[in-house]
Amino acid sequence: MINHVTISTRVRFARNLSEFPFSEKLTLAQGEMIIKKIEAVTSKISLGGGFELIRLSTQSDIDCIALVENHLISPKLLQNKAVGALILSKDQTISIMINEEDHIRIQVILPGQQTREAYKIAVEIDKQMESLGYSCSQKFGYLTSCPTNTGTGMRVSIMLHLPAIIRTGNLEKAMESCNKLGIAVRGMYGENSDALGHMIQISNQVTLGHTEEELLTTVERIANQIVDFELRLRKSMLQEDRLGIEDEVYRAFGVLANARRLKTKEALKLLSDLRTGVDMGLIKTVTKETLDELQIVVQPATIQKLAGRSLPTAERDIVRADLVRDRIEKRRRD
Amino acid sequence: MLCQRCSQNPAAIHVQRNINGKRTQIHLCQNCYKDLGGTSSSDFGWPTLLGGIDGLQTAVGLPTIKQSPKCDSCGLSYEQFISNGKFGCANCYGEFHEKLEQMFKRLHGSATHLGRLPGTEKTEKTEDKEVKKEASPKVSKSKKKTKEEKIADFKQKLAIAVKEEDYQLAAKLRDKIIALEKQGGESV
Repeated sequence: MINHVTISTRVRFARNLSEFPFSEKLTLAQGEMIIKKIEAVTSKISLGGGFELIRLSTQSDIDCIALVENHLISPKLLQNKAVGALILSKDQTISIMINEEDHIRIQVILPGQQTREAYKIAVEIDKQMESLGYSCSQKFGYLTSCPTNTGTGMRVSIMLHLPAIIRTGNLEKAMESCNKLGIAVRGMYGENSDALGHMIQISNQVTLGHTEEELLTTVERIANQIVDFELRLRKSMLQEDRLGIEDEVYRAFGVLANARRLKTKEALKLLSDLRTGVDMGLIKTVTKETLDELQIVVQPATIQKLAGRSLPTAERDIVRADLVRDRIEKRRRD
Repeated sequence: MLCQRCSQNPAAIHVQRNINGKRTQIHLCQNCYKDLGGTSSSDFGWPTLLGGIDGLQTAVGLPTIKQSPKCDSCGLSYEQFISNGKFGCANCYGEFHEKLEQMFKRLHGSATHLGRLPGTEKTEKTEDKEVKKEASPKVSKSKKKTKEEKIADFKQKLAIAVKEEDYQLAAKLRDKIIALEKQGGESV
């Protein structure tokens, strides 16, 4: 389904190698052996343009945090930095976290709602890696460190931009219905985070007792219902106060295109308003791709990574405003 | 000390790093840690969610009445498992098997895997007879699903499918139940 509300789809598999204890009981030497084994297998996979190994221990703190901001690793992997590693495909759609909570976390992220496509790629990678000998049983399926992932070990997440649902105070209602159906609703950066820039992630909570097909279908069905609800609310908001919405969108555009100082949360809020305007066809000079890129570029560690040095807050706000202006102007010139 | 990400708030979370034996830390404030999706490690909800009554007793610091089983492979006790919510190794699943059935039903509504396994496309198509491959021999203690258990699982899912008005899935499940009931007495 093509819509403006769905930002991206993520499918991840949690896997462990049967010859090693889980991460909680893993020694540094064993962690290192796991990295080597996985690197040897993934170096033969050509999907996603080939893979590159990134050891967190060789990365600066800012670079590590930027990886989290880019959704390529989880904050949890930062805690296992000594033996934590990432295998990243050249096109950045496939990332394999090593020695996080589980030995292997295969993660595929695609733009828009592409659950089946992401699942297909994840299964391809999984099949090529299973020669390493996964921990599994017929009764409980894939055995994971945390019982909340046991079974399929699969988490399907869909990122949605929901300004109308949030602004009309309907998020709580949507969350309640989702929870009853075994679907978790979270803010932009996964567990426990606030809905920065009106970005919400929905995913399956249950991983055992259902086939992957059933889990994919459930998440897709709920996502479609939320998207429909969002679009209906947007339509009625537009009918009630078109001028008000237009005013907000153009104000956001004006500030983003001209500001000399921008704070992260302000930028995310304005980007959300601008995205709404782009979705509604009010702003035609900014693309969805630019917005997706800016969503990441405005994050604190990513800015410092782009600048190549640590920046104090005040300076960072200036660099952020420069980057946003540059991206918006560049696309307008193109 | 200020947070290394925002350089604004005082750092409250200190993430340990160990690079070539040299220990360093990343310092983040509560807000940045939360923004990045970090979770608190001390979560009171875990023991009660995982361990039921045993877990509640562990959570409030009371000793559990029964002797706690211990994994002979990694040394993790069942009590330790329910207090931090993580298994130590694949063998723990075999060691704690009796207690896991109820826990998985509480967590997932079921304690029986129906999805893929290594070497298969989909278990639904191949059925358990073909899924003989066990990657971890230590956990093969888990008993095989009987026909009755399978029927009960399908019936439970059928009720959910009907409730959610997913009639296509309901029809599929009904056919599976009929097919299983027609089969002989041996476990499938």
